[in-house]
Amino acid sequence: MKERLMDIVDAISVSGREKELLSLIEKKVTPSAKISYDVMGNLYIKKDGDGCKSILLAVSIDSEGFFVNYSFPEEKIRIAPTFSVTDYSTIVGSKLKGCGITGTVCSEKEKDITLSDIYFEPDEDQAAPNIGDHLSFVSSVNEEEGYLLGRRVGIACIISALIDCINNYDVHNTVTVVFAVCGIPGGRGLKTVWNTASPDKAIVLRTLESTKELPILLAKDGITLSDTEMFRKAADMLSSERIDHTLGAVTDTKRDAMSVNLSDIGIPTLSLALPTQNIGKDSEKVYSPAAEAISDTIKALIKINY
Amino acid sequence: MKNLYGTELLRELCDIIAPSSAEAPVADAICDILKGTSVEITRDKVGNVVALKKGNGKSDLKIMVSAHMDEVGFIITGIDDDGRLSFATAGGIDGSVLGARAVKLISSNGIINGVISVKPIHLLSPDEKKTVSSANDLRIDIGAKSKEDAENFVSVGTVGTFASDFVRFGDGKMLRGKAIDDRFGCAVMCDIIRENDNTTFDCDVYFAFTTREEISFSGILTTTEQISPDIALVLESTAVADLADIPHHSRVAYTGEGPAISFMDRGTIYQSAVYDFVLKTAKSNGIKAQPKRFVSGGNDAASVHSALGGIATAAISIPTRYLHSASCVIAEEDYYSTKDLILAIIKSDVIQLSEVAKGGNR
Repeated sequence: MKERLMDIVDAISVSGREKELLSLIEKKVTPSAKISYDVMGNLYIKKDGDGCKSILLAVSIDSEGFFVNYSFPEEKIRIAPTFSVTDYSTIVGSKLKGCGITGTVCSEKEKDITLSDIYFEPDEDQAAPNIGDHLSFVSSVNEEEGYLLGRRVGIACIISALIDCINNYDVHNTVTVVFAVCGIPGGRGLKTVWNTASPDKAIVLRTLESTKELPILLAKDGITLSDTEMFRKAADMLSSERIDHTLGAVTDTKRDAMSVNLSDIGIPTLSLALPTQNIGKDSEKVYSPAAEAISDTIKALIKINY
Repeated sequence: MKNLYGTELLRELCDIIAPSSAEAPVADAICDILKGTSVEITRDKVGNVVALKKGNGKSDLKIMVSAHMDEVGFIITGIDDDGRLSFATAGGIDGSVLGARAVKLISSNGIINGVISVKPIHLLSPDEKKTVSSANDLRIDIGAKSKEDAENFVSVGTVGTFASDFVRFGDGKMLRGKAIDDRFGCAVMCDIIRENDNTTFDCDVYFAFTTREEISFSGILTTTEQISPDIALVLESTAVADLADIPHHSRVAYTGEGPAISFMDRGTIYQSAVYDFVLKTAKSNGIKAQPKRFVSGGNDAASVHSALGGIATAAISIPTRYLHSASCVIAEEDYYSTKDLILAIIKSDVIQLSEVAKGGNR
């Protein structure tokens, strides 16, 4: 499992600048898959089936990062996070990479750190970045006591499972997998997928801060409800196939499901979450059996005649 | 107004009182200014004005250039027994720029003058001197003697704006006025349409004068869905702080250095394909432009960017000091740099524009 995730976790995918990871995903899928991009930069991989329905599997693949917003000779390089930071001390010392350079987040102060205090220090002999360049946290994957550890390991598990689905599963209905951009800034990338994919139903995958050790079918996801019929059929299918799972409901700020569900054409959605701890931190971790189970869960869910 | 161009046209447009939802006087003025040109003008039910300049058919691409007609202002929420008016702001206005400001309200009898009442310094307690009043604590004084007297002029729901003159100052090339955000964009578009009336572009270009940006970024959505553009250039004003006591990295942009191009703001993260193209176009045409150097603000571009199936979008903003106040300040040369840049983009090679329209990111 660790080996399958390493290059996914390593690839840069700062919100709005996800091309490196999307290109990697492209390389990993079978050459027969139908690949396209939309104007937002979302990647679509379509697998035709004989059924009359069109199912969308959607996941936002972007990660937390920074844009360089001030870079002049002899002055400190200033960076702006693409995500909400409540305590800047937690990012000081983080290693960053992007646009061909590496370096460290530093602070002018030790206490009461604000955005104005932080800056980026390139590693020795590295050129300064340009304004508008993006920088990603450096991350790697480890395994320890049944858990996969490392920043972005949760979303990497979902990406890996979807690649597995594209490459190895037979589909009855036509299935389009969208690897979407700009999820962290309010699920923006997924707002537009209806226009390209026009699916009948959608399954939205996400990580969820939880200590549970099984994939979770979400009846409520943020401010959106899963479609009742899809939810019931999914729960029945997973039970009959003896795939370990649990049911849940969550009220958080994640907007991905809402972006798909309440799009211009209105798409019935079902949310599936991979329980993950410490999301967005170096200490992020996923229970390995849950990571394995998410693949089987997807396989079962796309078999359902919604 | 019809014979005015450039910043003299801007002066006249800025003087119009037109907060969000009351943009009709600006729309009327724009329609009058463009009368007699070759553009096809339409007005929709939410007040947007669209001027279509048909292309020569060389390309099917549709370019939308937009600016909003509304300005920040006030809406009356109640009338006190003494005739003073409670109000809410329509758009983001900080309490520190409100006290003792002259305002104008739009009544059925015409424009009513008023002033935002505030205690004079002589009567403030030491604690009061340290605090900034919000709109909730302030009242508008229209000189009425009583509630009944005030009701002869205004009612709950009456709207208004700051009242301030448009002036040149400094070397005569710094401009100060209310409503520069975003009458600047409206004036630039009027200039481009009229100055190029005998020129045909390769693409259809839609010049959209939109409503309600200051309260909801909503007018532009209607227009975007009607036009379904391939490329959107959103003309805006961005708050800058190029002042002595502000660290350089927090100044956002500099007045006089050309329009600020956003790679990210509080509303969205722009496609790198579009951001790069706009800056390169400026450079290759010798037009001043600068990256926006601080992540702040948000505007119509966020609505456009993720509309329909996603639209290749750029936010091109004139650096503006004291934004959302009675005294917005811009450099005159930035007006003309912005106009030159928009024209250069529209006139770009269609193959290049087709690539930009695909959007996408690094």
